[in-house]
Amino acid sequence: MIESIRVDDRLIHGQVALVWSKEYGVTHIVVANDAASVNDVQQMTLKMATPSGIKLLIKNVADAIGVFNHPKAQETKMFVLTNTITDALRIVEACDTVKSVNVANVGRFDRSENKVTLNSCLLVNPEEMNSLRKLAEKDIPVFHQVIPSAAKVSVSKLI
Amino acid sequence: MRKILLGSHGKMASGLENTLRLFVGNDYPVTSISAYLDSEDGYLDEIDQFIEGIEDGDEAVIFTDILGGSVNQQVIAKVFASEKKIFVISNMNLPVVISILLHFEPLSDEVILTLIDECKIQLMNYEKTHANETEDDFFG
Repeated sequence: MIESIRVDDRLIHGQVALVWSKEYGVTHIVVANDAASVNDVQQMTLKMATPSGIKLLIKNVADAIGVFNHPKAQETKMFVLTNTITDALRIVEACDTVKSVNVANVGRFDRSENKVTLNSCLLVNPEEMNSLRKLAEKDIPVFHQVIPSAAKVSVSKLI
Repeated sequence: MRKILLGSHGKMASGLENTLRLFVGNDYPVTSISAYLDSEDGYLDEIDQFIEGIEDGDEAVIFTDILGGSVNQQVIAKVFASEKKIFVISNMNLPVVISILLHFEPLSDEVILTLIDECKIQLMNYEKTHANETEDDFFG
Protein backbone atom coordinates (compact mmCIF):
# COMPACT_ATOMS: atom_id res chain seq x y z
CA MET A 1 0.00 0.00 0.00
CA ILE A 2 1.10 3.54 -0.64
CA GLU A 3 1.38 5.47 2.63
CA SER A 4 1.69 8.69 0.71
CA ILE A 5 2.62 10.11 -2.66
CA ARG A 6 4.79 13.18 -2.29
CA VAL A 7 5.04 15.61 -5.18
CA ASP A 8 8.47 17.15 -4.89
CA ASP A 9 10.45 18.69 -7.74
CA ARG A 10 13.64 17.52 -6.02
CA LEU A 11 12.32 13.92 -5.69
CA ILE A 12 14.45 12.36 -2.91
CA HIS A 13 16.41 15.00 -1.02
CA GLY A 14 17.37 15.75 2.55
CA GLN A 15 13.91 16.43 3.95
CA VAL A 16 12.48 13.35 2.29
CA ALA A 17 15.30 10.96 3.06
CA LEU A 18 15.93 11.88 6.66
CA VAL A 19 12.65 13.22 7.92
CA TRP A 20 9.68 11.81 6.01
CA SER A 21 10.90 8.25 5.80
CA LYS A 22 11.11 8.25 9.60
CA GLU A 23 7.74 9.93 9.95
CA TYR A 24 5.99 7.22 7.93
CA GLY A 25 8.24 4.38 9.05
CA VAL A 26 8.47 3.18 5.46
CA THR A 27 10.83 0.50 4.24
CA HIS A 28 10.35 1.03 0.51
CA ILE A 29 10.57 4.18 -1.63
CA VAL A 30 9.48 4.31 -5.26
CA VAL A 31 10.48 7.18 -7.53
CA ALA A 32 7.92 7.31 -10.34
CA ASN A 33 9.53 9.52 -12.94
CA ASP A 34 9.96 9.05 -16.68
CA ALA A 35 13.20 11.05 -16.92
CA ALA A 36 14.90 9.44 -13.92
CA SER A 37 14.02 5.96 -15.16
CA VAL A 38 16.36 6.43 -18.14
CA ASN A 39 19.04 8.63 -16.55
CA ASP A 40 21.94 6.70 -15.00
CA VAL A 41 23.46 9.70 -13.27
CA GLN A 42 20.19 10.75 -11.68
CA GLN A 43 19.63 7.17 -10.54
CA MET A 44 23.03 7.24 -8.89
CA THR A 45 22.31 10.47 -6.99
CA LEU A 46 18.86 9.27 -5.96
CA LYS A 47 20.36 6.08 -4.63
CA MET A 48 22.94 8.06 -2.66
CA ALA A 49 20.11 10.11 -1.13
CA THR A 50 18.20 7.05 0.02
CA PRO A 51 18.74 6.21 3.70
CA SER A 52 20.38 2.91 4.54
CA GLY A 53 17.87 0.19 5.26
CA ILE A 54 15.35 1.50 2.74
CA LYS A 55 14.83 -0.14 -0.64
CA LEU A 56 14.58 2.10 -3.68
CA LEU A 57 12.89 1.42 -6.99
CA ILE A 58 13.03 3.90 -9.86
CA LYS A 59 10.47 3.38 -12.62
CA ASN A 60 8.71 5.38 -15.29
CA VAL A 61 5.17 6.27 -14.25
CA ALA A 62 3.48 3.54 -16.29
CA ASP A 63 5.76 0.82 -14.91
CA ALA A 64 5.43 2.19 -11.39
CA ILE A 65 1.65 1.79 -11.62
CA GLY A 66 2.28 -1.84 -12.55
CA VAL A 67 4.43 -2.22 -9.43
CA PHE A 68 1.75 -0.68 -7.21
CA ASN A 69 -0.80 -3.16 -8.50
CA HIS A 70 1.57 -6.10 -7.91
CA PRO A 71 0.01 -8.52 -5.36
CA LYS A 72 2.96 -8.07 -2.98
CA ALA A 73 2.51 -4.31 -3.02
CA GLN A 74 -0.55 -4.56 -0.79
CA GLU A 75 1.49 -5.69 2.21
CA THR A 76 4.47 -3.38 1.61
CA LYS A 77 4.58 0.09 3.17
CA MET A 78 5.67 2.34 0.32
CA PHE A 79 6.41 6.02 0.02
CA VAL A 80 6.18 7.33 -3.54
CA LEU A 81 7.84 10.38 -5.07
CA THR A 82 6.79 12.15 -8.25
CA ASN A 83 8.04 15.52 -9.41
CA THR A 84 4.80 16.69 -10.99
CA ILE A 85 1.20 16.85 -9.85
CA THR A 86 0.18 15.33 -13.17
CA ASP A 87 2.22 12.18 -12.51
CA ALA A 88 0.71 11.87 -9.02
CA LEU A 89 -2.78 12.18 -10.51
CA ARG A 90 -2.03 9.39 -13.01
CA ILE A 91 -1.05 7.10 -10.15
CA VAL A 92 -4.07 7.99 -8.01
CA GLU A 93 -6.39 7.31 -10.95
CA ALA A 94 -4.78 3.93 -11.66
CA CYS A 95 -4.33 2.60 -8.09
CA ASP A 96 -6.91 2.46 -5.35
CA THR A 97 -4.39 1.90 -2.53
CA VAL A 98 -3.07 5.45 -2.25
CA LYS A 99 -3.75 6.78 1.26
CA SER A 100 -2.82 10.43 0.70
CA VAL A 101 -1.03 12.90 -1.57
CA ASN A 102 1.29 15.58 -0.24
CA VAL A 103 1.85 18.32 -2.83
CA ALA A 104 5.04 19.61 -1.23
CA ASN A 105 7.35 21.39 -3.68
CA VAL A 106 6.31 22.21 -7.23
CA GLY A 107 7.60 24.49 -9.98
CA ARG A 108 10.86 25.76 -8.51
CA PHE A 109 12.71 24.50 -11.58
CA ASP A 110 9.85 24.98 -14.05
CA ARG A 111 10.86 27.67 -16.55
CA SER A 112 7.49 27.76 -18.35
CA GLU A 113 5.33 30.88 -18.37
CA ASN A 114 1.94 31.65 -16.83
CA LYS A 115 2.68 29.97 -13.52
CA VAL A 116 0.42 30.75 -10.58
CA THR A 117 2.00 31.15 -7.13
CA LEU A 118 -0.11 29.31 -4.55
CA ASN A 119 2.46 29.76 -1.80
CA SER A 120 6.26 29.95 -1.51
CA CYS A 121 6.66 26.24 -2.39
CA LEU A 122 3.99 25.83 -5.07
CA LEU A 123 4.41 27.55 -8.44
CA VAL A 124 1.89 25.89 -10.69
CA ASN A 125 1.66 26.06 -14.49
CA PRO A 126 -1.73 25.68 -16.22
CA GLU A 127 -1.38 21.94 -16.88
CA GLU A 128 -0.35 21.31 -13.27
CA MET A 129 -3.20 23.47 -12.01
CA ASN A 130 -5.64 21.40 -14.03
CA SER A 131 -4.24 18.21 -12.50
CA LEU A 132 -4.30 19.76 -9.04
CA ARG A 133 -8.00 20.56 -9.33
CA LYS A 134 -8.75 16.98 -10.38
CA LEU A 135 -6.61 15.61 -7.57
CA ALA A 136 -8.37 17.79 -4.98
CA GLU A 137 -11.70 16.20 -5.98
CA LYS A 138 -10.49 12.68 -5.16
CA ASP A 139 -11.74 10.89 -2.10
CA ILE A 140 -8.36 10.89 -0.28
CA PRO A 141 -6.52 13.60 1.69
CA VAL A 142 -4.63 15.91 -0.67
CA PHE A 143 -2.56 18.41 1.25
CA HIS A 144 0.56 20.57 1.32
CA GLN A 145 3.09 19.94 4.10
CA VAL A 146 6.81 20.51 3.59
CA ILE A 147 8.02 18.98 6.86
CA PRO A 148 6.08 16.93 9.44
CA SER A 149 6.12 19.65 12.08
CA ALA A 150 4.61 22.20 9.68
CA ALA A 151 0.84 22.59 9.44
CA LYS A 152 -0.96 20.37 6.95
CA VAL A 153 -2.88 22.62 4.54
CA SER A 154 -5.65 21.14 2.44
CA VAL A 155 -4.99 21.76 -1.26
CA SER A 156 -8.63 22.71 -1.82
CA LYS A 157 -7.98 25.78 0.36
CA LEU A 158 -5.06 26.84 -1.84
CA ILE A 159 -6.70 26.68 -5.27
CA MET B 1 11.36 14.93 26.10
CA ARG B 2 14.55 14.58 24.09
CA LYS B 3 16.63 17.72 24.68
CA ILE B 4 19.59 18.55 22.49
CA LEU B 5 22.44 21.02 22.90
CA LEU B 6 24.85 21.81 20.07
CA GLY B 7 28.18 23.37 21.08
CA SER B 8 31.02 24.71 18.97
CA HIS B 9 33.91 27.10 18.75
CA GLY B 10 32.43 29.98 16.74
CA LYS B 11 29.21 29.79 14.79
CA MET B 12 29.11 26.17 13.65
CA ALA B 13 26.56 25.26 16.32
CA SER B 14 24.20 28.17 15.66
CA GLY B 15 24.59 27.60 11.90
CA LEU B 16 23.85 23.91 12.33
CA GLU B 17 20.80 24.75 14.41
CA ASN B 18 19.63 27.11 11.67
CA THR B 19 20.05 24.40 9.00
CA LEU B 20 18.45 21.78 11.22
CA ARG B 21 15.35 23.97 11.60
CA LEU B 22 14.87 23.92 7.81
CA PHE B 23 14.59 20.15 8.03
CA VAL B 24 12.60 19.63 11.21
CA GLY B 25 10.95 22.98 12.02
CA ASN B 26 10.82 24.83 15.29
CA ASP B 27 8.98 22.39 17.54
CA TYR B 28 12.01 20.54 18.88
CA PRO B 29 13.96 21.50 22.03
CA VAL B 30 17.32 22.14 20.38
CA THR B 31 19.62 24.90 21.63
CA SER B 32 23.08 25.94 20.53
CA ILE B 33 26.14 27.50 22.06
CA SER B 34 28.62 29.38 19.89
CA ALA B 35 31.67 29.80 22.10
CA TYR B 36 34.62 32.21 21.95
CA LEU B 37 32.98 34.82 19.75
CA ASP B 38 34.08 37.52 22.16
CA SER B 39 36.34 37.78 25.19
CA GLU B 40 33.55 37.81 27.78
CA ASP B 41 32.06 34.52 26.99
CA GLY B 42 29.09 33.13 28.90
CA TYR B 43 29.15 29.74 27.32
CA LEU B 44 30.03 27.84 30.47
CA ASP B 45 26.87 29.25 32.08
CA GLU B 46 24.87 28.16 29.04
CA ILE B 47 26.12 24.60 29.44
CA ASP B 48 25.11 24.73 33.12
CA GLN B 49 21.65 26.02 32.22
CA PHE B 50 21.12 23.19 29.76
CA ILE B 51 22.18 20.57 32.28
CA GLU B 52 20.03 22.12 35.04
CA GLY B 53 17.03 22.08 32.72
CA ILE B 54 17.13 18.32 32.31
CA GLU B 55 14.32 16.72 34.28
CA ASP B 56 13.44 13.16 35.17
CA GLY B 57 12.13 11.39 32.09
CA ASP B 58 14.09 13.60 29.70
CA GLU B 59 16.70 12.24 27.35
CA ALA B 60 19.62 14.60 26.88
CA VAL B 61 22.26 14.72 24.17
CA ILE B 62 25.08 17.24 23.83
CA PHE B 63 26.89 17.42 20.51
CA THR B 64 30.24 19.17 20.19
CA ASP B 65 32.27 20.24 17.19
CA ILE B 66 35.57 18.44 17.79
CA LEU B 67 36.93 15.75 20.05
CA GLY B 68 39.47 17.18 22.47
CA GLY B 69 38.44 20.78 21.84
CA SER B 70 37.84 22.98 24.84
CA VAL B 71 34.07 22.99 24.32
CA ASN B 72 34.08 19.22 24.43
CA GLN B 73 36.33 19.22 27.51
CA GLN B 74 34.08 21.66 29.38
CA VAL B 75 30.98 19.68 28.45
CA ILE B 76 32.47 16.39 29.63
CA ALA B 77 33.59 17.94 32.93
CA LYS B 78 30.18 19.46 33.60
CA VAL B 79 28.24 16.36 32.59
CA PHE B 80 30.45 14.21 34.80
CA ALA B 81 29.97 16.56 37.75
CA SER B 82 26.20 16.66 37.30
CA GLU B 83 25.85 12.87 37.64
CA LYS B 84 22.96 13.04 35.17
CA LYS B 85 22.62 10.62 32.25
CA ILE B 86 23.61 12.75 29.28
CA PHE B 87 24.98 11.43 26.02
CA VAL B 88 27.92 13.44 24.69
CA ILE B 89 28.81 13.11 21.02
CA SER B 90 31.81 14.82 19.46
CA ASN B 91 32.52 15.61 15.79
CA MET B 92 28.89 16.42 15.10
CA ASN B 93 27.36 16.67 11.66
CA LEU B 94 23.90 17.45 10.29
CA PRO B 95 22.76 13.88 9.51
CA VAL B 96 23.69 12.53 12.93
CA VAL B 97 21.86 15.33 14.72
CA ILE B 98 18.72 14.78 12.63
CA SER B 99 18.87 11.01 13.08
CA ILE B 100 19.22 11.19 16.84
CA LEU B 101 16.64 13.95 17.20
CA LEU B 102 14.02 12.01 15.26
CA HIS B 103 14.84 8.46 16.33
CA PHE B 104 11.61 6.81 17.40
CA GLU B 105 13.01 4.50 20.10
CA PRO B 106 14.61 5.40 23.45
CA LEU B 107 18.30 6.22 23.17
CA SER B 108 21.04 3.94 24.45
CA ASP B 109 24.76 3.73 23.72
CA GLU B 110 24.02 0.93 21.28
CA VAL B 111 21.30 2.83 19.42
CA ILE B 112 23.49 5.93 19.19
CA LEU B 113 26.47 3.96 17.87
CA THR B 114 24.27 2.52 15.12
CA LEU B 115 22.93 5.95 14.15
CA ILE B 116 26.44 7.44 14.15
CA ASP B 117 27.60 4.64 11.89
CA GLU B 118 24.82 5.43 9.40
CA CYS B 119 25.76 9.13 9.35
CA LYS B 120 29.50 8.94 8.81
CA ILE B 121 31.17 11.44 6.52
CA GLN B 122 31.75 9.78 3.18
CA LEU B 123 33.92 9.99 0.13
CA MET B 124 31.41 9.85 -2.70
CA ASN B 125 32.02 7.19 -5.27
CA TYR B 126 30.98 8.44 -8.71
CA GLU B 127 30.93 5.06 -10.31
CA LYS B 128 27.55 4.42 -11.74
CA THR B 129 25.54 2.35 -9.40
CA HIS B 130 22.64 0.28 -10.52
CA ALA B 131 19.78 1.74 -8.58
CA ASN B 132 17.16 -0.15 -10.44
CA GLU B 133 16.36 -3.31 -8.62
CA THR B 134 13.88 -5.68 -10.13
CA GLU B 135 10.43 -5.86 -8.65
CA ASP B 136 11.28 -9.22 -7.13
CA ASP B 137 14.33 -7.74 -5.36
CA PHE B 138 12.24 -4.81 -4.24
CA PHE B 139 9.50 -6.86 -2.63
CA GLY B 140 11.74 -9.77 -1.66
